[in-house]
Amino acid sequence: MVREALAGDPGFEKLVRAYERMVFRVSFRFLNDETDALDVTQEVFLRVHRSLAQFRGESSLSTWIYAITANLSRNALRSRKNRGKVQVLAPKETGEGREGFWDKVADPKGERVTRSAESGDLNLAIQAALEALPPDYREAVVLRDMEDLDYQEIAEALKTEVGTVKSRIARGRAMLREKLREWL
Amino acid sequence: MRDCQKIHPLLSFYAEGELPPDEKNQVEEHLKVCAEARRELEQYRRQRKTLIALPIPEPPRDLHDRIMSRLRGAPQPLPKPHPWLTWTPWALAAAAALVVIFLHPLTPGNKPEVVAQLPKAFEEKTSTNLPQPAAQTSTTGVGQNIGLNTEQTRKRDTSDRLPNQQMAFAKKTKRATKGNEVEPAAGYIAKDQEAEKTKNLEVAMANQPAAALPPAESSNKPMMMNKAVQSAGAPAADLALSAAAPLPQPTEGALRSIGFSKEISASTWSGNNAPVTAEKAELVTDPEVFKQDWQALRPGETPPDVDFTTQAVVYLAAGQQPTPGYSVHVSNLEEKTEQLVIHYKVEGPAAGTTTAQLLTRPWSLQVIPKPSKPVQFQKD
Repeated sequence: MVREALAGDPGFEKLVRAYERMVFRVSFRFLNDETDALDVTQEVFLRVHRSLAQFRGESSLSTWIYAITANLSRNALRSRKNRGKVQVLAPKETGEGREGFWDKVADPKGERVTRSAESGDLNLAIQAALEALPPDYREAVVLRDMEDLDYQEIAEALKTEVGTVKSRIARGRAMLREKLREWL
Repeated sequence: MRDCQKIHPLLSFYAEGELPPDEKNQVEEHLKVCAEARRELEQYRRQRKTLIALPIPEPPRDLHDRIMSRLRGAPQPLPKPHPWLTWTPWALAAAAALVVIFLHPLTPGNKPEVVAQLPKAFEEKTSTNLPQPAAQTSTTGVGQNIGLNTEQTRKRDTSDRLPNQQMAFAKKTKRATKGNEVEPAAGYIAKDQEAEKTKNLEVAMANQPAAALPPAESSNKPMMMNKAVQSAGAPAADLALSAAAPLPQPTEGALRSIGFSKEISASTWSGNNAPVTAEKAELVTDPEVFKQDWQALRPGETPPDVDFTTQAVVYLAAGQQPTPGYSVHVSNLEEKTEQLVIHYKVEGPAAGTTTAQLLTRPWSLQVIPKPSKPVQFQKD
């Protein structure tokens, strides 16, 4: 795919199609803002386009793109002050008949959790809790628990050591657990 | 206690089955004697399942096109602006000039009941050609002749609208003006009262102080009235002029700032993170209020320049929606005899679109020429 992409437009467009949703998804998780995620997604592919010739294949292409996404998302975070604030959560909805998020998540015993009235807020709560994590922790948790990368891939994407990755994941998860205590 | 400090940081890794055998055994031994560890482990398990199952954010439908356009150095592909967005005061002046010039001799029986408050530049241009009284126009005629009033509903994209649409906006205005050899006239043109109770703003807006007007007629679902309507004595031509400012060419370094370029004050912004969960429609006429709204919507970013002496901002929020793909936008401006009705729409994802379950709170800000009549909102 890299060779094709380097050859010209059709090949590069194929690469874009293959990774655009991933990049948007991850940048959205990092930034918790659709507009910013859209900006970052576009910038990522500009950077990929510009730097693809320097890609040496030392990591997988996807890991390399994760690395660019993390880097540009970090830049985007730096460029917007006050964005570290936790969003004010929406008041609980009490609508009936809605199958909520919690209805779709089985608990460890295989039983369905019945918290539909609060389900809508859980999404917001998770997003807000993620946003409130230090960026280093958030990146590690997102890449591990939401993108399912292994520790080595995360270390490559975040340009750090595996031990550091594990430490960030452990601390990030612990902070997340504290913030989501009432939901868990 | 010492065991707790050592073992508890391992619990989340134990929950995902990632521990080597020796650490796994230690954790299991600890779990037998520590209730807190068992509780924590259960929470990690639930947390892990929750994160894995979290709905995937759905990207805008035109994500691919946007990326490719950026890569090719072209402006962002944007939905065509709604017809009313192509309206400008001086395009109207030009259009009205056409009507005055070409229709007046054909309709000698019409007696104007309202003397139009023509912009000076416009009067100078037309007065040599026309007998007095000069302003004898039919708004219906205007609408039909300038052809701005035909298409009304065009599906709009749900994603951000960058001001590139102002390119088309400016070009269209330029064409309209050039074709009629009329200088860009400042201000609005009054419409003939015979011409009708409900015509689109593309036609004209009377330049009357709001205080002189009787209370607004009630309409469907009125949401709020403009709290600070002032006489539109100041021209609104800045809208067109600012829109005509050259759009920065997309170079990589400047790309991000295009949407908030100070040269482009007439614009639309939107997003999915409104700070309010309830539906809202408001006309912002105060710079300080706008600044506060902007900070709430786009924290940390500098508010765009809006000239509140000639412009106002429509702030819409669609309330909390269950999935991405919703948008809220001004769909039409309708002028009635005594008020301006701002129609707006909340649109959902296109039929058949698969969207993630992810709560959103769509909002939009739309710069419009400052109304000279009381304003009423109507959701369509």
